[in-house]
Amino acid sequence: VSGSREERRLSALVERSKRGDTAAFEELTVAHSADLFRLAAAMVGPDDAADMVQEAFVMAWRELPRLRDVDRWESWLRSILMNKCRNALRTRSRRPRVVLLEPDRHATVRHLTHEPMREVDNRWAMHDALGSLRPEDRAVIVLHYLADLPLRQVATVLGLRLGTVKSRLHAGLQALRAVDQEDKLA
Amino acid sequence: MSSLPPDARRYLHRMRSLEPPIDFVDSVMAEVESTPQVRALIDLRALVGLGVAAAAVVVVAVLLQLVTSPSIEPGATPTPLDQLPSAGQVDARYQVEVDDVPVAFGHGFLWLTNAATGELIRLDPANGSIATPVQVTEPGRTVPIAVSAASVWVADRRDASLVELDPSSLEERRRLPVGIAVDAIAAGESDLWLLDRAAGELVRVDPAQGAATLTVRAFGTAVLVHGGSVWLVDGLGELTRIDLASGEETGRLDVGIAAARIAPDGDSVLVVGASDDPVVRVDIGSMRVLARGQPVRAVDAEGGRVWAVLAGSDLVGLDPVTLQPVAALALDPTASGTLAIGGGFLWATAIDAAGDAYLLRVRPQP
Repeated sequence: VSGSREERRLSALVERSKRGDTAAFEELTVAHSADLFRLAAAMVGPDDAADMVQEAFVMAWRELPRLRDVDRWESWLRSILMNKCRNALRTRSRRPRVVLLEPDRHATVRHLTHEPMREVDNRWAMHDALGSLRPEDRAVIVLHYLADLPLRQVATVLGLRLGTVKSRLHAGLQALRAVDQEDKLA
Repeated sequence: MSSLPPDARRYLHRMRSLEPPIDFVDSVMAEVESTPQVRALIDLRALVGLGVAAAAVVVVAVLLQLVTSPSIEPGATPTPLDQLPSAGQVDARYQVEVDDVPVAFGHGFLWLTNAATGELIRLDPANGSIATPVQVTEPGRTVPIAVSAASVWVADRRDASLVELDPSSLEERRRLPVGIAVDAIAAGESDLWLLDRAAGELVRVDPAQGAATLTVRAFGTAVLVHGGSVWLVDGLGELTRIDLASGEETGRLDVGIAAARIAPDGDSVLVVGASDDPVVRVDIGSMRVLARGQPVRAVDAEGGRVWAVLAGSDLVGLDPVTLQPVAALALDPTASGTLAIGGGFLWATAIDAAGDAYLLRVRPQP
């Protein structure tokens, strides 16, 4: 009962925010800040997380009148955030996108598809254990294992087919296990 | 979390304990307060008290805004579909398999694929006769296909190859090993572009050489060659333009929808979302969004006319500028959300209450 009451409260806040009510939007910001901050931190690191979430909230505020279905608010907000995080990762580790073909070209290309996170953040002294993942696989891992979203909801947030989400999850876990094995051998 | 390696598990566990900065909400709200919301329509109530002349100016401004400032989600449809002129009439109906999807028209035939069986089906539009379906890849896989000037190309996951078929005889001409799991093929004038979604590879193949000539690192859901560029869309809403010769990225745009398909339309491309996102038209030169329509399940364009199938089983003609419906035809039985144009007809599939599938041939209104 309390869950549905909370959902109704959030829906009402979204409706009011759509009409330009900043007080209502502030309540939404309070309600979602922590969860979104943790998602962003897991994606881009704690240092840049606040900027990512702030940009996502401001974009959501600006575009909110165009959100037709208020029930989609949460997944819509998450989508905005994950899009920003993914773009940030891309910009951060942008590298040549074109690889001329060599006999072992596919091995080469697969190697290049990894976009390592930047250096370990000193303030948090936190090793980025997901740093070997591509942003796309990383997003699936983070939404599923940190936000605890079922894969179907992960697919909704990322705008992917369920099968694609499953394959990205599989690929991500394989990559993580490979790194884990390498660490053990080292 | 049992399937995560320990290092990753600890990392995510640590994330769960993080909190945003203490002044975070204040910081967000300070920016929100100075950020205007985007409105699809100007609130006309605010104009009460102004003179008739001023109101007329505003109405003109509103109309201009509707045309030039596309919205993330469209407003209410101006005219109910059942009050629009007819989009055409169904003049033939052919029974097909449930998973048959019309995907292309070329060499005088409509080409359908069946992901459940991995088959390619060729239909003669003149009489609806279907050639013996060709098993082109393993069952349960999307059948990537492209129709070029001389051939039909499909990808076979069973041996990771690209297969050239004779459109007349349906016989295999060549089988080129490409070494990737091809999800989509786009045909250019002289090259083919193969997309491997999972690996994030876009591979250019020169059919004359019978070999791959370039590999681009690119993630996407659909690929198209149009207007001298390769176009790639992805599920996170990005449209990327890639140079045909170098493979370099020449433009990128966040179209704001979870893009699943892309179709050519003159100097534009039409981007379609995976679910209930609006169709988006993007200018291929400036990469500017020209219009956002309403959610569609399938879209195709030819000769400056845009057609779409809506979630409610309506086949509609869309205004090329606003992408809003200007003609409609309620399909019966219920449309299954596919559409192709060719041979002077629109082709859509439908499923009746008994579960039987049909290919509908629609003669569009001139």
